[in-house]
Amino acid sequence: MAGIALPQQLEAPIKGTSLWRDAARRLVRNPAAMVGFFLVFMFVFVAVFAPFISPYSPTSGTINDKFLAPSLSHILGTDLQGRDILSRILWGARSSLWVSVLSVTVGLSIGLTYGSISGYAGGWVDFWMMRVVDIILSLPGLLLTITIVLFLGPGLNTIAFAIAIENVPIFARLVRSSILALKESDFVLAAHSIGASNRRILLAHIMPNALTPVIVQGTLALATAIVDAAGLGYLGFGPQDPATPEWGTMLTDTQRYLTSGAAFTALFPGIAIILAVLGFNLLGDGLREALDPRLKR
Amino acid sequence: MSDQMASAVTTPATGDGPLLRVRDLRVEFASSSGRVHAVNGVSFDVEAHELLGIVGESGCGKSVTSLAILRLLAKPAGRVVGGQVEFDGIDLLGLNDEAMRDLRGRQVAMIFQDPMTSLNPVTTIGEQLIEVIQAHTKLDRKAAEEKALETLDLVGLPNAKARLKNFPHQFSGGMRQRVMIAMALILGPKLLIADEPTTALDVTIQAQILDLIRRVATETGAAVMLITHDLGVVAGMTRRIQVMYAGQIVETAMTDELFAHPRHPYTVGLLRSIPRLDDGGSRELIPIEGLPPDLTKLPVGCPYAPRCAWAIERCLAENPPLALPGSSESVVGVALGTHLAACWNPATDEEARAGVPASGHISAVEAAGRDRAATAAAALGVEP
Amino acid sequence: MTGKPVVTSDPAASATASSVPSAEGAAETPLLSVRDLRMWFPITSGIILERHVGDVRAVDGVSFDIERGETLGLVGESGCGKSTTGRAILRLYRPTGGSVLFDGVEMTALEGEPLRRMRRRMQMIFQDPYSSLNPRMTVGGIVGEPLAVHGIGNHRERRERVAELLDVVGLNPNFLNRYPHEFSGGQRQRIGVARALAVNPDLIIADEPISALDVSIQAQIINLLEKLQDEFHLTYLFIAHDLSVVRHVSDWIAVMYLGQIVEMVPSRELYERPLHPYSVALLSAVPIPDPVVEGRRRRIILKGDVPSPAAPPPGCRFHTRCWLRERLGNPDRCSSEMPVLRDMASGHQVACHFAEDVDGSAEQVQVTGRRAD
Repeated sequence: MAGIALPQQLEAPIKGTSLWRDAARRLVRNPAAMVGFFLVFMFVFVAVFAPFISPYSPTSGTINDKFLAPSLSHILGTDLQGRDILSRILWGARSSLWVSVLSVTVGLSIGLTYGSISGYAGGWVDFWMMRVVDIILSLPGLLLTITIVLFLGPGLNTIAFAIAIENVPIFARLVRSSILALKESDFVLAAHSIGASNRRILLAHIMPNALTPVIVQGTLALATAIVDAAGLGYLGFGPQDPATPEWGTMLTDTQRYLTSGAAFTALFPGIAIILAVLGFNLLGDGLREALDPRLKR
Repeated sequence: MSDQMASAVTTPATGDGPLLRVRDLRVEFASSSGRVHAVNGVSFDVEAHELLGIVGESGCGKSVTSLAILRLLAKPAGRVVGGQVEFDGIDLLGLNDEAMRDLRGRQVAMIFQDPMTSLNPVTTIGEQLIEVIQAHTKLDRKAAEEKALETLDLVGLPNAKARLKNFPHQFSGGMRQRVMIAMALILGPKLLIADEPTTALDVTIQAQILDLIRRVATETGAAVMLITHDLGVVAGMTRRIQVMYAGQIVETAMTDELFAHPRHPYTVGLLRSIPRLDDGGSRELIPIEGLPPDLTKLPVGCPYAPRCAWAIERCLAENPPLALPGSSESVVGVALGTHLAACWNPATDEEARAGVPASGHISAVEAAGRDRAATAAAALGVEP
Repeated sequence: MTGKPVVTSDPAASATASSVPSAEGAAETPLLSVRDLRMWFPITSGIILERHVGDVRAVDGVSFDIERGETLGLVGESGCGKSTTGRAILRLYRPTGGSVLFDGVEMTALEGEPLRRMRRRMQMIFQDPYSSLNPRMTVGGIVGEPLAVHGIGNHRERRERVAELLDVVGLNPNFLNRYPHEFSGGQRQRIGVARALAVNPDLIIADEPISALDVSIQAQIINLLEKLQDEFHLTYLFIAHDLSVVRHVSDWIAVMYLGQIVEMVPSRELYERPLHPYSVALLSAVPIPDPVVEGRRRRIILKGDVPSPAAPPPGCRFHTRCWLRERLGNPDRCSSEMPVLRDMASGHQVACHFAEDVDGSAEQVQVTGRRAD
C-alpha cells in the first residue's frame, strides 16, 4: 500500500484496548457510579471486618442501657435490650452480604446455564424449558418462600435459597434472549463457516458477548436481594437466633418505636438498608452505561 | 421546466438573489474523543428551481451541512460555531424556534435515507400527512385530507385513498420513500433537501424514486439539494455539483464540466476508482489510498493531502481556498456554476484521464515518509 | 478460461443450434457444481401447535458451475436469494433440495467431521465489517481461529502465519493485539479477508464484501481480492447487488430474480447484449457516472414491487412486472409456463420464452446509451 507509514520492523507491537478496559475507563469517569462503588465497597468492607471494627459485641447489653440516645460512647445509640446499634448494624451487614451474594451467585449460575442451553439449543428444547420457567414465575413469591421455610425452617440460608429460586428465571430469560440475538450475528455465522464446534462457539463467541447484561443484572439483583432479605427477615423468616443480627429482623423488633422518642432504633437499620441498596443500584446503572457494547465506532 | 407551473404551486422567491445562501458555515460536535470538526468553512448558493448535487463519502459533512441549515443538529452535542445561512433573505441561524418550525416543512423540507425511522410507526400515514398540513395551515380536516390525497397522487402512490389508513410498516421501501416525499412536498416548499434518498433502496426502485424526484421538482418548481455518495446518481440528476471532503467543499462545477474535466485530485480519485458499467469491464481501478481523515485531528494543510498523489510541499502547510483552478485567489461573487477547486496542484485533463499525476511527480507526503524512514534507519544503522 | 455452461433444459427446446464445446472442460471438472439447489424456509402458524402453512422459497432451483480460478458473479436485488444461495453452498443452512458438488464431493449430505474437513476448502467473506468480527476477540485471535479450529501448527507457528496474513491483506502485522473496534470499516474488511485466507481455501464466497464500505475504500478491497485471486489461485463466488462492481470482477454473471437464475452470461456480454427483460431493466436502472451517457440513456421503470418469495407468481416469476410481456400483448404462456434456462449462444443462457424479442429491441440498445438503429 502507499508508502506513508514507517517501515514495519521499526514499530513496537501495539497493545490493544479491549472493550472491558474501555468500559472500566468509562465507569471511572461516571460520578454517580463512583458513589455507588464507594457505598458498595464500604458495605463489603464493613461486613467482612465487622468483628474487628465493631465497638461492642452485637449481643451484649444490659436492660439498664436500653434506648440510650446516640452519644459518643454509643454512636448510634442502643436498642431495646441495651445492645449497641452500630455494632448490630455492622454485624447485620454480614448477614445481608452473605444472603445477597449467596442467593445471586446460585441464582445466576443456575439461570445462566439453564438459559444458555435453552437459547442455544432452540426448537422444542427451548420451548419446553421456557414453559418450566413460566411456571416458576407464575407462583407467587411469598407462597414459594413460605413453602421453602416450611421445609427448611427459618434462617439465613433459607432466605438465600428462596431469593435464589426467584432469581433463576430472571437470569435464564436474560441470558436466553442475549443468546438468541447473538446466534444470528455474522461473527457467529463466520465461526460456523470456519468449522468451529458448537461448544467452541458457545464458550468463545457467544458467552463473552452475552455477559454484559448479566453483569448489570447481577449487580442490580444484589440490591434487590438485600431488600428482599430484609423483607423476609421482617416477616420472621430470618435467623431466629437473636445472636445473629439481621437488618430486617431489627426492623421488626423496633418498628413499634417509630413514633416514640426511640425512633432512631428503627431508623438506623432502615438507613443502612437504603444506603446498601442505593450503592448497588448506582453501580449497576453505571455498569450498564459503561458496558454498552459499542460495536460500531 | 415550466415557470408557469412553478408559480402555481409555490410562491416565487423574493428578490433576485439565490434562494439559499450559505457563508463560511462551521459545525462542531462534542464527543468523548474530542471536538469533531464536521463542517469547516462551507460557502455555497442554491438558486431557485435548480437541482444541485452534493457528493461525498461518510464523514465529509454533507449531511451535517443540511442539518445545520435546518437547525436540526442533535443538541447539545452539535453546534454551529460560525457562518451565516440565509434563506430567501431570512437569516436562518438567528430565527427563533417557532419561526424556524414554521419555515421547516412550509418553505424548506427534508427527506432522509431511511424512511422507516423518519416515519412514526404507530400512526397511519394519513394521520401523519394531515398532521403536517394542520400544523402549518388553517385547513380543516376534510380539506387537509383532500390535500393529502392530492399529494399522494402526485408521488404516484397507487390506491391512495385506501392507503391513507395504512401504517408505515405495511409499505415497501420504495413506497415508504414516496410517502416521505409526499410529506415533504405537501406544503409546496421552495427547497427540498434529499439526504441519500435512495441509498437504502434496490437499484430498480432507486430509478423509480429518482425519476419521481425529478418529476416533482419540475412540477412544483422546488429547488432540490441532492446529497449522495453515488456519482452515477448525480450524473443523471443534477445540473451542478459540489464535492465535499473533510467538511469542506473541494470542487464545484456544472455537472458536465465536472465529469469531463475534474480538477481536484479527490474528484479524479473518485472517478477513477469506481467501476463503470460501460467501461468494458477491464479498466483498472485506481483506488484512493489511505483512510478518511480523523475529524478530531485535522491536519494543518489540505485535509486530503495525506492521501493525495498530487501533493506538493505547500499542500502540507496551507489549506487551499476554493478558487479558479490554477489561481490562488479566493473568489467572491463569481457566477454560479463556475468551475472552482480547492487545490494548489490541480490535475490536468491528461492526468485526470490517466488517474495518476504526471510521471516523475512524487507526492510530498510520500517524500516526507521516505525522509523519515531514511532518518530512522540511519539512526539504527540499518538499510532503509 | 471458459466457463462450462449448464444446460438443464430439454435439448429439443434450445432456440439456437450452436453447440457448446463441452469437450474442452472434460478433463477438468468444475470446482463447484450446483444443481437445482433449493432453500425453502417453512412458514408456521398457530399458537400451541404450529402448522406448516407454506414456504418462503428463497432459492428455488438454482444451477451453475464455477471453474477453478474463475469468478462467478451472482447479482440481483434484495430478496432474490443470492445471499441464501451462498450460505446454502457453505452449508450454513441445510439445503431443502438439490445438489452441491465441491471438487466432486456432495456437500448436501455431509455432516460432522467430514463436513468440518470440507470447510477448510471453502470460506466466506461477510458483508458487514462491523458485525462479522467478534468484538471481544483480538484481531490475532480472529484471524488465527481457523488455524486453531483445524489444529494447524503450534501457537508460535500460528502467530507467524497470522502476521503473514495481515501483511498480505495490507495491514500492519503489529496490529494483532488490537480489537476490531479500533479499526475502520475498510480495515475490518481486510481482517475478514485475512481470516478467510487463513486455511488456504480453494473457494471463497464473498457475500456483498464491499457494500458497507465507503466508495474510495471499495476499490482498495476490489483490487486486493483480485490480487489475492492471482496470487493464490482462488475461485470466487462474488455475490453483490452492484452490477458495475460485479461486472468488473467477474468472468461470468448470473442474474437472479425471486430465487431463480434468469440469465447466465459471460460478464462482458451482459452489458452488450442482455437477453432477459429483467436484466435489461436492471441494467437500465444502474446509474453511470457520466452525464453525457446518462443523458442518452432511457430508463425502463419497472412497475410495482418485487412479489413476496412466499407467494411467487405462477409461471414466469417476472411476468407481473415485465415490460416485454406488456409489449407483446400479455401472452398466456408467461403466466402459465415457467421458463427454464436455455442456451442462446456460446454459453449465454436465458430463462425467458421470448428472449429473441429482447435481442435488438430498442430497450436493449438504449440500456447502453448507444443510438438505436
